[in-house]
Amino acid sequence: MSVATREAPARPATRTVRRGGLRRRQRWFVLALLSPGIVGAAVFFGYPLVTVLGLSFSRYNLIKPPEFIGLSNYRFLFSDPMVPKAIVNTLWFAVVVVILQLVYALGIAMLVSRIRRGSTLARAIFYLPSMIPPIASALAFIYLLNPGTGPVAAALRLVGVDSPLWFDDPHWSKPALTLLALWGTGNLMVIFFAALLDVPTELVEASTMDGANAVQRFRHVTLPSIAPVLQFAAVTAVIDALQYFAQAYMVSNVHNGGGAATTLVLGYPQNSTLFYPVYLYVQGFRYFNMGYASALAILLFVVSMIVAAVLMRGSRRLVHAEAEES
Amino acid sequence: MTRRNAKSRNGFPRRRVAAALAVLAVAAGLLTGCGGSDDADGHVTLTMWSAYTGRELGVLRGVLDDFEASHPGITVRSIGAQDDDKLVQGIRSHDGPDVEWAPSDDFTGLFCSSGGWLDLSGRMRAAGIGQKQFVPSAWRATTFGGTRCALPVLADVVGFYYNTKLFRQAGITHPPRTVSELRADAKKLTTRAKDGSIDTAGFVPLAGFYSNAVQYFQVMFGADVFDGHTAKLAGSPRWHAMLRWQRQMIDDYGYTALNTYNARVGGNFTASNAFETGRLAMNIDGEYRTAFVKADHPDLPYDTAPLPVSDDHPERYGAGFVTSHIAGIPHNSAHPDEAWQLVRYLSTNRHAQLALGNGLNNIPTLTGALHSPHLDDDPRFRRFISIAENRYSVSAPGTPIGPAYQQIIGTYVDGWQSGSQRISGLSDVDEQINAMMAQAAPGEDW
Repeated sequence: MSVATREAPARPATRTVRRGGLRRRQRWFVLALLSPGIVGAAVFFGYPLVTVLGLSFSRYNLIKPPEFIGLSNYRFLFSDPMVPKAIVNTLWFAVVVVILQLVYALGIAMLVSRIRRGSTLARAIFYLPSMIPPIASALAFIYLLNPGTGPVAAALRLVGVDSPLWFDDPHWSKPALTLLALWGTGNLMVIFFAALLDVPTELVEASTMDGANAVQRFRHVTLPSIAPVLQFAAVTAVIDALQYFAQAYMVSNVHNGGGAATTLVLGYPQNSTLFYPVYLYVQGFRYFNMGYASALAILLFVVSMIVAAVLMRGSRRLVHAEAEES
Repeated sequence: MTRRNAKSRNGFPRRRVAAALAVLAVAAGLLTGCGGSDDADGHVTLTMWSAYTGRELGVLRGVLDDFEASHPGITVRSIGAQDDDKLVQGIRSHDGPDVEWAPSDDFTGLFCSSGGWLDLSGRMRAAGIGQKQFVPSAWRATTFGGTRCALPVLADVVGFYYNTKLFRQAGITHPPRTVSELRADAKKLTTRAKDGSIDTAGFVPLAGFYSNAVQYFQVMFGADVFDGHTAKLAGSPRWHAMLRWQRQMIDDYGYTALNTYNARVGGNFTASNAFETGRLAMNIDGEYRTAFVKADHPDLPYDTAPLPVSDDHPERYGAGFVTSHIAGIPHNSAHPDEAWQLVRYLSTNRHAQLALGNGLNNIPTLTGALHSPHLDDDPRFRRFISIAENRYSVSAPGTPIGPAYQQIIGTYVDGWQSGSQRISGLSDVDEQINAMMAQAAPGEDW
């Protein structure tokens, strides 16, 4: 008994040592497995980020060595009249387009999930546009929305409505880009579709038996179940919107004469398509003002982080609240 | 074991080893495309970058073949599709090209002031190359801040196109020489559809329409951007006159009607271009349009002329806008001496200039080639030669910020055209340009 009493505490200690060694070995193993990702992140994210941060405090035209100028670029950034215009355009897009994209994609996903025949074909039809490269889709919309010769204008004429000038009118250029963005939200639709399939059918059936109507079922069963997916979609869509570039660059390029590159006015018409990344690109790669472009990039990075954090925090609350409710 | 499945000593299939070696060889070949190389026998291979592609790159290749034939011991590897951004990357790389051909003179300031392209002054003096050999505006476009780092190789010259059949039908006997005549002719030549929309436009005064650019309107009024090193548009009567003339012309049509017309007509560089299809009577465009017309609408009845000028300065008639293509030697060229021979050949060899001018439908910048009987003898093309040589013809001023100021002006004029900007907004334009210059290149000598 006494022997047993003496030996008894030793066994857990040996286990602890073994467990500790095992954990250490597991940690190294996990680290080894993660190392390609860590190295990749350090080389392709950490290093460029630190470099851009350093360049943002310099005057750098890509040829002469960078010259340290302290906060000059940031001071100029806050006095540059083009920056507020670019920010307003980008925020407009991030708010209006993202909300419309989420609603549209969720609506289509719900519709497709209820189709009994031809569901696969419907999914493919709605998903296909997101596989088209942004430049090609922008060109397609330039053709479709041509106020003179485009099929949309022809259809509007049939019902006695004059087509707007779309990409040539500062009031219509962003709505036209919004249509283009909605058309290409097939990836969100697929994600929502998958999430909708995961909604527990027993909960839906139970709520139906309890007398819940369609809106109540969506509000109290479907929405809480897909809330994490909605959160993910919202964060990625906002970050995509903050980085919106290719389509805006293309339409302002084509509609501004398509002449010599250096005489083009990006943001045409009247800066309505001058999104923040477009202005950043212009400064960095059209004017070779890379120090200033780096300052613009750092501001975009900081804003993106803040927006992502706010969205994560806000939607996490929503997720928990919905989960508790359900 | 069959020959097909033969393995090397280390066990890898020989075919795979051979394929891997081939891939490596191709990769090495591509990598060496970044710079020149030497053979043991002293043969030098130069690498030249230009923006040309397809047929135009072929024309350049033909000229380079002639160069190689007359310069034994030098081979030129020509790489196309290199825009301004890539040219800068070439300067930055450790093993860049030996010669760069920039499609415009917008970045002469950047290339010269940064030392990215070698200063060629000494070599030019030694070779007896000087101002008199070149079109004046092209010569001016190759220097910045006292450094001459490039030679002109070709030019795009902007002038005036008009449809002679529509002129005859409207009873107009000659192309407009002044902006008042242009406005009057445009009214006569414009026809409208039943719904009031423009069917045939006399002239479209919108900057951004086809090749129209504010810079070309500036030539018509002699309106400069810079007074010394400072942007001074707000106090310039010529800028005010230019903007008011444009406003009047836009009001003649209606801004919305012009925009609708702009949106409805065919693309600039397509066979359905409105001038080429007879839906636009007068247009501002480059000499290259003659080639487009020849290819797409050879029966189009048209002629060319200098740009109309402001009524109070008729002596300026004959001028146009000149954009020079320039060639230079990046500072990291492994063979600057051989590269200089190539740049010199392209710029000063009469045969090369004629071949480039005729092949690319651009204007030679070497005066010796301008009046050669071997240059395209179409008088409509040759009119651009006299425009290029006119003393009032201008190029974009070289600045430490390249063409960035043009974007600021273009944005303002975009708003002015629509009626959302006032003349007083020119003060903001001055402020923005000067602030950008101070931010990007403070105290830079130019």
